[in-house]
Amino acid sequence: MLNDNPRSDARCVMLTGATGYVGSLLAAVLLARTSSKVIAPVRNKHGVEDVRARIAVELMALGAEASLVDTDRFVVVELPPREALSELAPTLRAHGVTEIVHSAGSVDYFNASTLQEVNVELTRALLTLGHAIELERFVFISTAFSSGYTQRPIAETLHTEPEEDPTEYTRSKRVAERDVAQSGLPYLILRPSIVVGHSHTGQYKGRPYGIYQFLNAMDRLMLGHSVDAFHVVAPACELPLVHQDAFQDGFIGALRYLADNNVMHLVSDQPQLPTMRDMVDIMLTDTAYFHEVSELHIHDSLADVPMKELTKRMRTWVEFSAVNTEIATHTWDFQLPTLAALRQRGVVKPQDADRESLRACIRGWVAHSEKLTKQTTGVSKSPRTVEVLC
Amino acid sequence: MSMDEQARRERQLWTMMRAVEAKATTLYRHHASELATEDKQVVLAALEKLGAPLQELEGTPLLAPLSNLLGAFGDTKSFALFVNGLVLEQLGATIYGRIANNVAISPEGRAFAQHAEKVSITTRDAAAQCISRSVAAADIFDTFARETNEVLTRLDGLGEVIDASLGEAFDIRFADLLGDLTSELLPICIDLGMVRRKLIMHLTSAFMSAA
Repeated sequence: MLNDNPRSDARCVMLTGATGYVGSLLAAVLLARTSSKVIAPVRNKHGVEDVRARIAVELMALGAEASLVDTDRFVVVELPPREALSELAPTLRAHGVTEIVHSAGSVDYFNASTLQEVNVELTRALLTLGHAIELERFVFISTAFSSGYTQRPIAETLHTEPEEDPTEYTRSKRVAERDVAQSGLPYLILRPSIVVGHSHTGQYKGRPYGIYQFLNAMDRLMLGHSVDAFHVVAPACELPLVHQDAFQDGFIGALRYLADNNVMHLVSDQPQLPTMRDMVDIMLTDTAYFHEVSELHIHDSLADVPMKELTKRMRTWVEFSAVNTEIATHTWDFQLPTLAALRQRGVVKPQDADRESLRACIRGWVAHSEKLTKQTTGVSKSPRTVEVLC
Repeated sequence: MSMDEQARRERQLWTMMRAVEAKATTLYRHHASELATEDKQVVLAALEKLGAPLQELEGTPLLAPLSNLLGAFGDTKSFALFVNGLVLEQLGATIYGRIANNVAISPEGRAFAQHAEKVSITTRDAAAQCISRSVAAADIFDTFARETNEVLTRLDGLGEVIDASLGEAFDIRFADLLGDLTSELLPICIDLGMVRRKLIMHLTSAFMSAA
């Protein structure tokens, strides 16, 4: 599974998805911790300066020089339409690209046509491009949830079809994984779980998904509205989070040591994972979210919530926020032999998500929540917590 | 707030509704004649008197996000049915319903809103029937997710300016509109055969995960 000696850094890596959150994390860590040149094809709508600014922020989060993104080690090129992707080949050859890190993807959970186009067809086109330039390795950023719902331990192998998928997104990633493995190119498939902010600073510059969707829904729907009885679905189920710095560390460890044609889970080890209930507890003790609330009703599941008694806005909040618990209420038994081996060698630091690192992330969000800042300027009162256990 | 300012804001509200209703009416005429009713024409005609052309919003914070929303409108039957017919007619009914009895709105505006709410509900129901007849059951959710995603995301972008521009004047808050919209839309979509879990995930993603 692991090579005895670290692989030399690629001379030049093409990175897709650099305009997104995950891609900017990867661009930053490639610039900060390898000697590779990074070619980032982006669609023309994204200003080059915006791309560089995003990556600069993530470089600083790594303690690296933000100016690395302004050197000739980082090159932005125009991404042609998928059908014309082969037009990139001369440019990639000229730069000496030997690896592609493919992190571009659509996270439209149920937009089947977009998911097929971006997650499946674009991956296929990149594999074809990889053959054209005689690529040495194709690194595919998938998702830990590509297994779909399964009761079995989730191995670092390709998945069979599950009975059900959380979303169309997970299915599309599973299809793409198979395409990568069957392409004939040497490959790595890396499967991060839900990537959240930095484990110490809580910095997060991505779109509000996962726990941030929950916090955003709180900001958008509930803040500024005084309510007597506030309802939230927050079971004591572990949240399958991985911090962005742990994700970056694991990625570099995999690039250097993981033998070709392997799969690796980039997730936190489970024993200390925080729960949805921890999240609400932290919001209660460390933030002003519930300062205008008289009673806080914490439920284990949506079925326990007296929906008919709630206002439409509260009902919508409960429905929207409970979405986040769905993936957590399933048991994801990720097998982590590669991560364990990398940690044993001291190549990857243990930075598993726990209650304290979740606290850092919530504080990081709160620091930038304008609505919450306004709320905290008002008179506040401590809520009376009413816990509803089932 | 002065009466002049109140009147100016009411006109802005009608101007926004006029822009959306005008687009919807055109789309219905081209792609969904069942929804291009006489009643919808009457609503648009009334809004042409109550509101102004979109350009009048120039210089206000409403213009950019509203133009952004209108810019996402498609030109297909599927878009007309799912986005305009189902989602935006429900949103329209919600807004008209909330202002129909709001004393901060002019008597003329309130009378119109009462009528427009009924027309929007009738149009929404007609759109649901049309979808049920013309789209295969297995495709309904996929089509809904595909057609509505961008518009819902851009609609979300209107939230803050609606609160800032109309919140105080007419007690219209985006969070309340979102709550009403979701509550009313869910049972209709579920009746069309959509799976509640998927529907909620889609709406949450569209409304709460915008950049």
